[in-house]
Amino acid sequence: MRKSLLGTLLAGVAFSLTLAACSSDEPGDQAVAITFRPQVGTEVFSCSASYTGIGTTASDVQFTDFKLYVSDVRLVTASGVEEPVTLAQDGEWQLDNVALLDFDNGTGNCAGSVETNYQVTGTVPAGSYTGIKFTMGLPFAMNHGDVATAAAPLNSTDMFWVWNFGYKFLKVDLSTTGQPGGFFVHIGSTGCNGATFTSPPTSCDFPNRDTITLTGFNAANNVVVVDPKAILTASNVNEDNGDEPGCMSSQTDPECVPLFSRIGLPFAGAPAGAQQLFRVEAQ
Amino acid sequence: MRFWACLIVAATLAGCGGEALGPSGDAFAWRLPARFPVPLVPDSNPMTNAKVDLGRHLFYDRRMSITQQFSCASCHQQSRAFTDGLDVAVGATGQPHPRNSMTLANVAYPSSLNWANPLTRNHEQQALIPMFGDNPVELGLTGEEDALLARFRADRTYQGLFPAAFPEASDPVSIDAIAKALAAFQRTMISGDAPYDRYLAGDRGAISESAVRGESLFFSERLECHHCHSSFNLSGSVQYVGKEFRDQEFFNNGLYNIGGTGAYPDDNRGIFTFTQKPEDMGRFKAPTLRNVTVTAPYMHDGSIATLDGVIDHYAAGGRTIESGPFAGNGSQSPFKSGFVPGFTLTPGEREDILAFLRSLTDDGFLRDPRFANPWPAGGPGGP
Repeated sequence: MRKSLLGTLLAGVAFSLTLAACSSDEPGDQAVAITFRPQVGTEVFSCSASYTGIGTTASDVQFTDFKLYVSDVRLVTASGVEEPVTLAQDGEWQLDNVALLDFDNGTGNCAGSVETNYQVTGTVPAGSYTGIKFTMGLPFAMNHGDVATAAAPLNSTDMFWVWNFGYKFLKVDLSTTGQPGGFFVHIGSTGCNGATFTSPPTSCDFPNRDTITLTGFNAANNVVVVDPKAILTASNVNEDNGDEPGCMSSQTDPECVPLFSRIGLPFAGAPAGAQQLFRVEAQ
Repeated sequence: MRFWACLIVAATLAGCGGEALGPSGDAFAWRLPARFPVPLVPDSNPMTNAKVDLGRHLFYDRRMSITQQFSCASCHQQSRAFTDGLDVAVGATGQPHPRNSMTLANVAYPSSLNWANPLTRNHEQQALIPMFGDNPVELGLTGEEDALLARFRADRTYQGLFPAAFPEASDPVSIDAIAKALAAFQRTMISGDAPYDRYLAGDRGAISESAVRGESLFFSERLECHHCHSSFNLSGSVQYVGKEFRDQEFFNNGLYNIGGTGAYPDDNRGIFTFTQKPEDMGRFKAPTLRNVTVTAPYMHDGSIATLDGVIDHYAAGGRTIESGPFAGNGSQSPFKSGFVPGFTLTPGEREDILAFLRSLTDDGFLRDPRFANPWPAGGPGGP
């Protein structure tokens, strides 16, 4: 993650506007910080640790990267009213309604930058909330902009999906017993079309944006656990039986079948299963 | 308040993206052969000599990779019309690429870049693929951009070249600047002075009688070569000033038909990888045939070693692989282009076709100092 000059400028603009208009300090607003906690089953996620019992072969694995974009975060009241969280424009991790969660601290098996981000911060209308809703992924317009000039956090080269002219929404890279070179989970939009010499794609057949709804969530007491072990329970991470090693969202990749189901996305004509990547736990 | 925010943001964006043409006297001039149209250039990256010069230094700079031992020119060597002679490219970390390194001759014109990527919009965007692609790794710069930019900011040559190329940028050394300069340099790689070009320009002795007969065969409905290798570029669809609409073309030429299903090897399925539509299996771009005698081996995966082998392939209307994981009769692929029906050649006709293909080699392009390594001996430049 790199803070860009443009990001800094935008943050500055947003900050000065906030001071001038007090737009996000309206009397009815409250600050909110939503913590995401990466776990591997019940264990804390670390770039330096080895984990056992992953997938159908109970493989040993190490993680070499773990990042994801979330957007359109909403808190939900007991009566079902959804209130959007207005994200703090920090010029680094959050832009418009998008945030990058980065659990790769550049140590151990991970090669990324040392900076990490476990939180989404902003304001929400004052009230009592019992649930959270968000999208894993970027909005269409942001997904297909020019990465060479994009502001943070859209300038994370780890999340560039350059051949596909978009971004990875979820990047979980493993080194496993059977595939030490990598078992990759890269989820993003595919089947995109309509690009011209001067304009980006106009649509994607497989957007692969995951809408997540969690209940029993209170930001003051709870965290959103992000658990890659839970989406790998039906995967054999030691083998690759077609397409890219792991799953890079290709509609014909056999390794994507169990993963998409557990991520909560439809795949190759099959409807989405219940998502298991995210869950609510106590802080 | 939001209205003003938009205005301020817009002004900020304009301020950051602004570029000037070079100083007077530095006006860029295309040096186009006869019959060649003017390449398209995005408004955001006008051509200047300073930008082309910077792009040439970057293209040959081995510091443009994770290992600092590997440049664009490692896979794109001028003497081979900017290919590398390998079946498939090998990236900075030693990982083989699934595909053969493409020639960059006349790369200003194709309606799509790469072997099979319908999303490549222009060279500025394309440059980011070898830099930041992670499967396969080419230059391997993912996560390395700060180190890369720091290297270049500290280099005395670049302390002159970047500001000259981007005089209005407050921070001229950027990923955006690198991509734009590489794009500008590549657009100048124009090859249009082969013997066949001189023949077309009126020098009837520039190519042999055999090559003239080969030309007729090439453009015949019997062999059908010209349907996919057409225009001044002898390639799939092109775009240029005056023809700005995009008519991308991708063809299945019957190279594989695994198990009779039309399938291709997993890592080389053509634009199917993007569209995921069954009929797009094995559809690749028809590359330019200019300089084809020096760009062996052939096909998207370098799986045919010689031009003779290529002629065998098209004469058979597809390739039959007898055994192994890719076994199948390509000529029977359900997805094969109708322009690959197969044909029979006499030995003399085969020689004529080969003579025509040899007449497409532009020796001047392969030696032109404008496209050569600009770094001094012992410097960072090299393949």
